[in-house]
Amino acid sequence: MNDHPEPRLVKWLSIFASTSAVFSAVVGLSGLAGWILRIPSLTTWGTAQVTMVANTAACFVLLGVSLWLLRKKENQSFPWARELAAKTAAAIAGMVGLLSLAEHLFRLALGIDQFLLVVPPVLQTGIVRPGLMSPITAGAFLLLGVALLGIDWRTRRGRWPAQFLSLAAGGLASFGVLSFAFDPHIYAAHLSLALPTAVTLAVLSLGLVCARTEWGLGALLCSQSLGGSLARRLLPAAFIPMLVGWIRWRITAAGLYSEWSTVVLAALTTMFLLAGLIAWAAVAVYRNDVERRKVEEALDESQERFRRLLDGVKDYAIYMLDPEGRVISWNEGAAHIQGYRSKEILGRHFSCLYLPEDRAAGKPARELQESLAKGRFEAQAQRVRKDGSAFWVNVVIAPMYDDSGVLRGYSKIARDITERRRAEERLAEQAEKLACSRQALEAQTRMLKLVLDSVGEGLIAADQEGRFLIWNDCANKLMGRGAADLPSEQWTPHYKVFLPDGITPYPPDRLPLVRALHGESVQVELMIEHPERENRVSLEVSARPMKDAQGNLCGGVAILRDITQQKANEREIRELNEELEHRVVERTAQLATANKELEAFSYSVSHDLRAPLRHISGFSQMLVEEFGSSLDPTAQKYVERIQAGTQKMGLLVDELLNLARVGRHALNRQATKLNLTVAEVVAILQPDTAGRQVEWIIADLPAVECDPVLVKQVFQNLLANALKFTRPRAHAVIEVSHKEEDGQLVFRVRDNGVGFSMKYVDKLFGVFQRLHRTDEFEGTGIGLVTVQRIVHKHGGRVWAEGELDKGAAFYFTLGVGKQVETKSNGVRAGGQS
Amino acid sequence: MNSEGIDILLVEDNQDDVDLTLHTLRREKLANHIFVARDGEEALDFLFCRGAFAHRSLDHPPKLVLLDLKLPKVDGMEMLKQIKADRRTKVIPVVVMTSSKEERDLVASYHLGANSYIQKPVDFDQFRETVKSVGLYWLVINQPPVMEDKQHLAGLAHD
Repeated sequence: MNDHPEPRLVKWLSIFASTSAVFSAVVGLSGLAGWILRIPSLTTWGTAQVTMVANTAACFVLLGVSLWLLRKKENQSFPWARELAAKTAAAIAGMVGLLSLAEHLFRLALGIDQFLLVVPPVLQTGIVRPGLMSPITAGAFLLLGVALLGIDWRTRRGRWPAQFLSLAAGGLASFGVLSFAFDPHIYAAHLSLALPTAVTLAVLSLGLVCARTEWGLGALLCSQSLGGSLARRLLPAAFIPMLVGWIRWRITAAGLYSEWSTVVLAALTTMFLLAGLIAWAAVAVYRNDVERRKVEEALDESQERFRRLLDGVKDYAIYMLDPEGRVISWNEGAAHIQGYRSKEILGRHFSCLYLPEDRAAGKPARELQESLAKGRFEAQAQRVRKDGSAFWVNVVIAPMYDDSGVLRGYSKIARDITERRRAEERLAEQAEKLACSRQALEAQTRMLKLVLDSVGEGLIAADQEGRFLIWNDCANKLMGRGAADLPSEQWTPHYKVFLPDGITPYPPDRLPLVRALHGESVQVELMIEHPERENRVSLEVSARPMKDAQGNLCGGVAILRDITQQKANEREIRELNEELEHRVVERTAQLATANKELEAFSYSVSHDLRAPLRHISGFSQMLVEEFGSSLDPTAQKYVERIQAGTQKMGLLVDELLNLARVGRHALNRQATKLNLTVAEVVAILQPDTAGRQVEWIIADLPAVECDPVLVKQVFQNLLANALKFTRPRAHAVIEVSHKEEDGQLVFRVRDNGVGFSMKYVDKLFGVFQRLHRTDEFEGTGIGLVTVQRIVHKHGGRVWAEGELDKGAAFYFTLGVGKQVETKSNGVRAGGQS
Repeated sequence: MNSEGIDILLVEDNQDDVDLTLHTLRREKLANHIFVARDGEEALDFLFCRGAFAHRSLDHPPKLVLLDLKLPKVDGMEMLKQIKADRRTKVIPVVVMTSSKEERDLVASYHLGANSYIQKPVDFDQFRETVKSVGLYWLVINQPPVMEDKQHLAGLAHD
């Protein structure tokens, strides 16, 4: 604890020191003046017996000046010059004292007494060496000189010898003063110490003591401490013996009381005065004690509170270091965080809390230095626990100074931020992730925009308030304008939207996007007056409401398609179609005419070609019958040839007519049981099998949708052919069967007849094409053509396979796949492919 | 020619066909009384006793009409229509004998009330056979309606 001096006392003492310096100089100067001007009173102060010698006066001046210069004062100019002057003056005075003392002690005549002033004999009053100062004065000067020289010198034990020296000088001076005070006459008789000298020495020595209030006696006197207080209170006790002595001497000298009485009186007086002083001092001590105890108690309490506070802080390690870095306090938080109990750590150097590498790098010391340099050190760093594990702390080091600015140690506050670091790291990680996902999102957004802008159709999306959210490049191109921040009522005039007639402005409340915003799904055509296109643009707009995840309406989307070209194309197609229809009607009419002509032709053929044949046949027959006897055999043979020719011609005409009829015949499909059809045909052909061995193998044929009359003709022609071409076979086999191939029903008529070469297969179905001579197998070459025509009429196809002498197989389809289910109560159409 | 008591009215414009048909009918001794009309108008006049045949009585219609379809002036179909449309002549059996085997002719003929439809075969033997069969059937085998009972006929017509 630092001792605070009483400022008022300090001031008083300082004034006293200054005053004593001045006083000394003035007394010295007045002494010298007395000597020079021969005014004895100035050197004797009226005592007359002993004068202050000139050397003494000069020494007083020197010491006064020296003290004046050495007294403590702020902002002195030329401190070193002043000190040099002061120390020189003190040295001279000390030297004078030393020499004078030497003269006295060793009876030397050094002439020091005559050095300054030759005392005129007249003033020499029985004194051997009137210029020489008394030995007391000389000793005092020596002491004071030395004291002033070493006024600021302090011993290793903290003592200030200068003050003791000056007190010693004061003691010597006091002796003179006291002697004078007790009895001036005796004083004069016994002492060669002048009164001014004694007084000035006393004052000067006290002044010197008071010149330094920072230490020693001066400090003690000024102190607010109990010591200072006691010193101040008990100091007057020093004067008690003097007072008592003086009174006793006076009484004794006056002879008023007996020796015994005065002793008793003196003892009593001393007793009372001392007792009073002691009591006064005791009161001061007592009060001080009580006060101190209170303060201590308060301090203890506050310290306790402080300790509890520190220990209560678990999250922070709060501890103190001494200036060397040793731990001197350690709270619970520190124990908790660092792992050391306070017992274990107190007194140890705090570098044990650092990581070994940090310790090796000298970090602990550097941090302390930095805190000293900057008043504070703060860092986030890794520290090590008692168990050796590292952790992150936020640490603050601050130096602690006492009131006088002396470094007392360091306070350290550390907080475990491992969790926080982790959280920060996690946060950083999350931030990175977030940044990544944001980047991904941005990339996606860019991609989406790219997609939107690459779409060949205009895409517009708006929110509920009609603000456009999406307006892609194509929309820009189609509308000729960008998205404008306008209310929907102004869309029609701004974008110049018209109804498909191109004249009526589109009603704003009927605009597709507006309707979509109201929840409708619409598809309309409209026209736009495009700023960069000559003709109005036809747009097909489909708009649909946009709904959020909850299904709430949150806007609308419209897709715009430029249908200007499409409309033009449609118009063109329509026109072409109309023309085509017109042409079709024309051609149909022409065809109908041609058909009619053909019909008329075949009609007339059936009449007009057959009739002459009949006549040729009839009359040639009649010729033979009626004139046969008069005809020679050759003529008869000729007539037979004529008849055969007419018969063949009749057959040909019949078949040609049949073929024509098939061409004209309208297809009348109905479910037909083919087995019945085949059976009918076999029955018809039965007469031709007379005298032959013919085996019919008829498979179980399905019922199919076909024209029964025509299909019967097909079977009739094919089976007749088979019968005809198997004529050379002793045992003819004719097969009718079917199979399903590629979803089509394929029918087959096969025989074991003479067959044909596949080389001529192409000729089989040509009109009038025959593969056999007429004298081998009669025929017109029209039967298979008819078959082909009927099959084609059904949407089917016909083909043949054969090998010479190995039989032939004819295949045909009727453009049907699945079999028709025939019910017992009749035939009904099922399905047909 | 005595136009009363005619057995067969042959309506045929082609002389060759007339000759062949008559030749066959005579040879088979099927009809001695045959009247040949060379066109539809003449045939109708004969049947309805008009024009050149006004002296004829409707009370003596022919027993059979052999009708060709392709005729000058009024064609066979029209004739058939008129014959079968008239109450007095509708009972007379009409056998259509033609070169055509056209389906529409066939169907139309029957629709108009033809009693038979025969295609004339090209082969003369077959032709003769056919004509003979037709004559036999309609003149010998078939029982003709009683023409004399006019009252009864009228009654039937009004039923």
